[in-house]
Amino acid sequence: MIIQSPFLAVVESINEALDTKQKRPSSRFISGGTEVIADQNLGLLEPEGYISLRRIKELHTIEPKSDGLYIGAGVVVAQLLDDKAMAQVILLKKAARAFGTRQVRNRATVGGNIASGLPDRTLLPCLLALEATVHLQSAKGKRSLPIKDFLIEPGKTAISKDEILTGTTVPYVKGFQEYYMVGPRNAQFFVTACLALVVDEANKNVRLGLGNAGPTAMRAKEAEEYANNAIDWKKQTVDETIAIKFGEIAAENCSPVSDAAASAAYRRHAIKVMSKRILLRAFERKQ
Amino acid sequence: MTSSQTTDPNVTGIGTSRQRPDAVAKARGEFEYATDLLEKDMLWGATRRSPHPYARIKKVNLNRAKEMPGVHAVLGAWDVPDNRFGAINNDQPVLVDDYARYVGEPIAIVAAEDPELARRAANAIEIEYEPLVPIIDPLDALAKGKIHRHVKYSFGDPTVVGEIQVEGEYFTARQDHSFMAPDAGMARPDGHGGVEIIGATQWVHADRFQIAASLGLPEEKVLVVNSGVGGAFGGRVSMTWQIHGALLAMHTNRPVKFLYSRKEAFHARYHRHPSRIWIRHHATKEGKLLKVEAKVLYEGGPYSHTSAAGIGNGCTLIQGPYNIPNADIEGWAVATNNGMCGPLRGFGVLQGVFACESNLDKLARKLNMDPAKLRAVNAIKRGDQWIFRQIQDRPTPVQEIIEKCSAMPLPPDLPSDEGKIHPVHLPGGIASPTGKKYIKRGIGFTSAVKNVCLSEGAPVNATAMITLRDGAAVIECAAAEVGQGFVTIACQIVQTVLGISEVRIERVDTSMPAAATTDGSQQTVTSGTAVQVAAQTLKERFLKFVAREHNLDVNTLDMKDNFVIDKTGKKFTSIAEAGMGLIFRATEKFSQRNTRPIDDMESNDPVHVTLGFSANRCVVDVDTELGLVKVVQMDVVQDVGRVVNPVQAHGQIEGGAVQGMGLGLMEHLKAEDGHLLNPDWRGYHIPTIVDAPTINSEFVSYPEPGYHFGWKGIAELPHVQAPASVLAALRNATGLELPMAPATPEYVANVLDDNEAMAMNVASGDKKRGPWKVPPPPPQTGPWVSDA
Repeated sequence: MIIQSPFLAVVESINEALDTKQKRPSSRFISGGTEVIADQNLGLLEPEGYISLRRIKELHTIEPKSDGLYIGAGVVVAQLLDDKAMAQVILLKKAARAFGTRQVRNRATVGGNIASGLPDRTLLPCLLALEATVHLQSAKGKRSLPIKDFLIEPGKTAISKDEILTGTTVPYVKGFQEYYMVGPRNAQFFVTACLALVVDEANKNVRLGLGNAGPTAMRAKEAEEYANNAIDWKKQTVDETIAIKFGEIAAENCSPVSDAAASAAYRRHAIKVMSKRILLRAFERKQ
Repeated sequence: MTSSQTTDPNVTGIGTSRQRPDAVAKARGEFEYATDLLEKDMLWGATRRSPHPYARIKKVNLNRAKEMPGVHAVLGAWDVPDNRFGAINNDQPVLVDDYARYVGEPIAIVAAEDPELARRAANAIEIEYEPLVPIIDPLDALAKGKIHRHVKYSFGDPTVVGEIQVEGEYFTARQDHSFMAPDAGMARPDGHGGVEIIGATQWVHADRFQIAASLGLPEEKVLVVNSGVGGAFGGRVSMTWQIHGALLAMHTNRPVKFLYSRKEAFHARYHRHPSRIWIRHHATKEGKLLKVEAKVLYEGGPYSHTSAAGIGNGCTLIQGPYNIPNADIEGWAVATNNGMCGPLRGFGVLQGVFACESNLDKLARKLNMDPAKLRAVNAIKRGDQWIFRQIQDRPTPVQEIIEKCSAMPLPPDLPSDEGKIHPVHLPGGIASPTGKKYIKRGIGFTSAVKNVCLSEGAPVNATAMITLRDGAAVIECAAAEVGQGFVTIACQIVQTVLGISEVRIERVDTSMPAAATTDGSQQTVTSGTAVQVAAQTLKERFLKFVAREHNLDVNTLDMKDNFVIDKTGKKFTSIAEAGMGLIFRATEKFSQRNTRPIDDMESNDPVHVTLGFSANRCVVDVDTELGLVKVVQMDVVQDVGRVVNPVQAHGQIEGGAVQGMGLGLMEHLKAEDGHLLNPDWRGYHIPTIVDAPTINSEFVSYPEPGYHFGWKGIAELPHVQAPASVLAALRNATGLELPMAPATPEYVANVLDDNEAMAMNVASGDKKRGPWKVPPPPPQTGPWVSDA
């Protein structure tokens, strides 16, 4: 019997993980494995081996801090649904419920979802709308950067080969938060298009994150700008024409792809309609 | 009739919901599927496949793979003793020798120590191709005369013209079986110069015939064992790894296991024929149908496989369950390079029924008539003629079914308080942007016909052997169990006939005489009848013995509740004791009536053995702006002859309806330039339990003549009509034409890129409109006739 299985290093601290990575540079970090193992089985990657981050305790914490809620990269999506502290970031809790199946939610990690950098991932438009910060660590030190600077192109992020994504800090925002998605069926799918809206009542602005509407998850800056000026912040109302315009601007300024799931035209249409509806929803609740 | 949805392992006899013997193991995850098979010293097989839809093979060099340590065999086309096989015609290479004709066609095979090594070795084979221009559009194939079968017939007076005419062109997509267990199994040398194939199949004897022929062995040297089937739906009629496994096992003298990945299975599988059908109905102003005209085009793969039978089914049953006195029908199954096509639940009929029902929808709208009423007034009756020159000579409760179905209660409206609606009950599910104010409700109504048993001259028969000893019986019948329930059905039949409770059915392999293929909803009516006849013979033998031993009149004896009883029902002695430890046995063969090809004008045999009928009313909630759909309810009434196992019968209807709904809403295996675009479950979606509607199924039971218990096949009908029913409901909600199944959100929302609007099933996205020019005369190839 010829054994060609890749090695698996189970590490217990971030430093140990970084050390191992230096020794075996073509190995790959793995945690939930919901993406990496599927890709490996499809023959898309053939790493020398895996460094499992699952036993690193400090990656599993959800901790309220002064600048926001800290969520460790190893936190699984199911924890976002259950953890009491998540009440302060209701958007992620809502998105977590829409995420995959129960089995996948028990396994897939927040870090993996962020680090994939793919445009159709659930958490990315939410983190963009919340203006979260991601934290990276390598043997050389730590660094933090806004999620918008982290996402570069499909599947490519600012993370370098010798870095670990350790977590994300999500600022507390007071106001309406909601996540909408459309897909090819009514459960368990990769989104055809999705979006997340955050209304920041203190700063009187809205932030709209779009998923699968371009090469990476993105903010609908033009639409936000329009809405920030058009919304009557005193009365806290939005009339339908404003919502329609908001949706049209969001749709005009995104660049979705056509693929087997849907055409670009449909994705654009879905962004338009969902943006309209989510803005109406955000302000109808006030009345 | 609504019955309890629970099964019981202890109930016996026809009409009870006996539990499947493997039910608990499957629920617990302990059932051994073919994918789980392991053996000491086994090797792993891997397949090198064509990356081109059409290419000449210039050179194949196996040496680099052969040299890899741990690789035990690398075989190419020249290693196959007879390199042409096929389900009906031998026109398909086991391994490509001259031209590769679809992406994923096997070119070379490898056996190695572990699966990863086998995969690498397969990749190491050097192949030079000369890519050629593939045919990807069925209309091009038609124009170029690439035709597997041409059907043309008329009935009555084809020149009749109706006051009202409605026509349309309808499309169905390439559907995948998407059974849970991918193609897998074990081939092992039997130690005596033969080979054993253990894996999931729908017909062990057809597999054996093809494997033995390809290996140049007598059939006796090949044993095919059906084992661990995880779904079939017609897909396991088509051979994939079996001949490859047998070749590698013979070459290495070691067991060889194949296990396809999902992506590989998508490429290797033979999918449902995509269809493009032009149809015109002529009717009176009162809605009485006068004539049907149709041009039926099915896209088959590059090799004939079962395409001829599929187009035959479509060109006949496009009539629907309606009495139509005149007809003019023409159809073609053509060869393209988009991948192989073969049977899938409702084989060939689904496409025709979709076109027929969709066009009748249009007729109902034009006449401003209730769609159920339009169907009821045209319902075919016993004694009527089918357009394919067959008398409907068996019970025909079509009108009753339609009326019963349309009288079933409708679901309540969505509650007015939106907070009370759980999002899984809304179009789009959790996190859907929809809400009550965006939702329109639609109702669709269809009825359908499906042939039971293979048609057009295909022999349909089965042999069963039953052994009784000590009051317990064992059934040997080679009917493949693929989840449809024959393992319980057969036992229940014997329990009822012999009046005993202990009955078991043996595992199926080719050491038994042949049974029918698990295909065409025919297993209960064919192999079930063989079991019943054998049990009847056994009963006579047994009672004759008892009468002689005890000096009784055999005519006064019967068997019931494990006892021999007399006419008054008095228990005489237990069956176990009465047998005196002896073995009683009977073997019987049952054959269905003969059928004839459509174009055989001499014979007066029917085209189809018999026909089943059903009606389906579908209720949908649609977010018309976003094209999101929730199928709320399906009400199905079906003609079933006799219910053998109520839970399984309801289960067949529920499963079939959901699978058909999948094709109605989402299942579309797309191809571009001959390459599949979504060959995995990330891109190809089947309905989840959240998508499944409430399904209310009711039965209409008129004993079918010709069978002692009067049963009828049921498995395919619910799938056949569900796409048409879902689309009818969507049309009702949206007001759109929706000529294409599936109606994905972009179609339902009517948001289409200009260049993609008509992309339909044809990859090239052309906009040519039918009815199309008639091509040059086709070769004379009837179905089920070998064409050298």
